[in-house]
Amino acid sequence: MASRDPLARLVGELSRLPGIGPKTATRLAHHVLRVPRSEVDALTEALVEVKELLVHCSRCNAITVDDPCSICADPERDTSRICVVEQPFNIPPVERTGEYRGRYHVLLGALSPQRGIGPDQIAVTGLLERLDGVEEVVIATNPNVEGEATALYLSRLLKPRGVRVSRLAFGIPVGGDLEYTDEVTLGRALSGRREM
Amino acid sequence: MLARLSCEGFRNLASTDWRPGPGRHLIVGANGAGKTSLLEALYLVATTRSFRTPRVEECVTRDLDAFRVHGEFEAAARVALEVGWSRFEGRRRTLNGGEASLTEYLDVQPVVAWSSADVEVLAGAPGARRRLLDQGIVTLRPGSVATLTRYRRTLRQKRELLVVDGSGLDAWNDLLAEAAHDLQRLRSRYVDLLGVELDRIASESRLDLQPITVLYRPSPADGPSGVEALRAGLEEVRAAERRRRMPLAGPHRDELEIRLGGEELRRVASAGERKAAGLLLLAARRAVFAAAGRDPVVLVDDADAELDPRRLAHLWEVFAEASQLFATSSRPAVWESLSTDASWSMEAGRLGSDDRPVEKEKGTS
Ligand SMILES: [Zn+2]
Repeated sequence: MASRDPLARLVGELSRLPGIGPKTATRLAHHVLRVPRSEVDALTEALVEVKELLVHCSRCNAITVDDPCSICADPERDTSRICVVEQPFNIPPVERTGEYRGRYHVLLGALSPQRGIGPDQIAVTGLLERLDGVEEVVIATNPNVEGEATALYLSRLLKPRGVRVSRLAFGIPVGGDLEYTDEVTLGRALSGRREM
Repeated sequence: MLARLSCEGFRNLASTDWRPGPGRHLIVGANGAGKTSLLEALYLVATTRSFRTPRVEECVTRDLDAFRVHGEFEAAARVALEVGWSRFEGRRRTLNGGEASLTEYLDVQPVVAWSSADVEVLAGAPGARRRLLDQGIVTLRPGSVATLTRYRRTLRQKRELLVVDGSGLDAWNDLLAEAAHDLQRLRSRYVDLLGVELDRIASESRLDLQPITVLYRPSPADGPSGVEALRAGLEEVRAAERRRRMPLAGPHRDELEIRLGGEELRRVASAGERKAAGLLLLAARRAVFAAAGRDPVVLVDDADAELDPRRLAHLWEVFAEASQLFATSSRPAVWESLSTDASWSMEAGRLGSDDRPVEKEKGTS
């Protein structure tokens, strides 16, 4: 049911964004009303461009303009290692540590029965198809119960295939998110990863 | 030690600013005068929880929109804790006026309490005894909150998984085994410590009561021995769990058996024996925490209820080793021959110093 009131409709759309409640959505909508038309056009364009120009890399699921992404296409990267993360935005923090030169695989989620996410709802099949020549899979899922269960699930799946499986080891606070973990801590966790 | 307690908008208490000293305090007043609320406020500010209700908003005075409880505790330095609730902003808590994690907050002042609701621990369903264990491990080491949370979240996910379809159960059982083992080790160690203190207290006391023993029965039975054993125990019930669509093994099924003279206490004891056993257990909990360097404030609501004067006197002796204790009573007469360090009167939510000999209403129980 689309509302006929354009302002109410904008508030409705904005409040569907994560982290935005009805109060903030109303404030943003009124802001949009006040700014010059050119700014609104720029925002609209940016929104559409994101949807039209960015795709998931067909190999690793990272977000990219070109497929495959720059990391998958880079011949200098170590092809014997894959680092598994939950979301595309988990890649930049790991890259910034400078400790890791392998490739990535984005699961696009983590196991969570409460949110209806089981093994079929995360991108596992693509990972299994990429195991040729891979010696080690580093699991960098979030250190919360969903990330931990996902790591254990992958470990059960990968080990019988002769791949070494390791997990970011320490330094990350329990219940913390990879997104908010600083580079030094993350770098230390990467170099100190433990075999599963 | 509690050095100062002030509260506003809390239950039926008038605005209070109280500065009790160390030792054993007696708070006397008629039923409904606000004695329990005073203990509740103290318990709440130290632990962020009420012993009367899981819904802290119930603590606000009728027709008011907010309450605030402020406590100052004396250890190496003075630390101020505050808990509040308002209709508009919900709950909040501060440590020395600033934000703090729950672990840091709980680290400040351990508290152990006995109130009428604790009869459940002795006579009710196993859940109340599991809560006693978890309160114990968190009081002993507040960092255990993380262990508990990890276990509870994992169990919640597994529960949901079994209701829906059960795919990926192996991974969740792997994680549950790790989390459950951590929790069971803590519970098991705590029960061992309780047992030692119960024996010591019984041997030193003149109380005429059959020996009380505590027995930890983990699920699965050999859970605390190792993650592999626990994992194997989960595997054993796997088929039954899928059939009944619920988790059938793990710490949520642990039992703490409390025995009186070898029989399960909840089956055999009289009301008086239960009360005496509950207070001995309280004394043992106090001693376990104190020995670990976490000397708690002790709260005993309606201390003399269900107890004959002899039992009361012997139990009161047991608590002589408490560095700070607050007991309430509606029967001042039964306390006349017992020694206390300070006496207070509570009347219509107002707390007064009461150093005069007690001679008010007799036997209003
Ligand atoms: Zn890629």
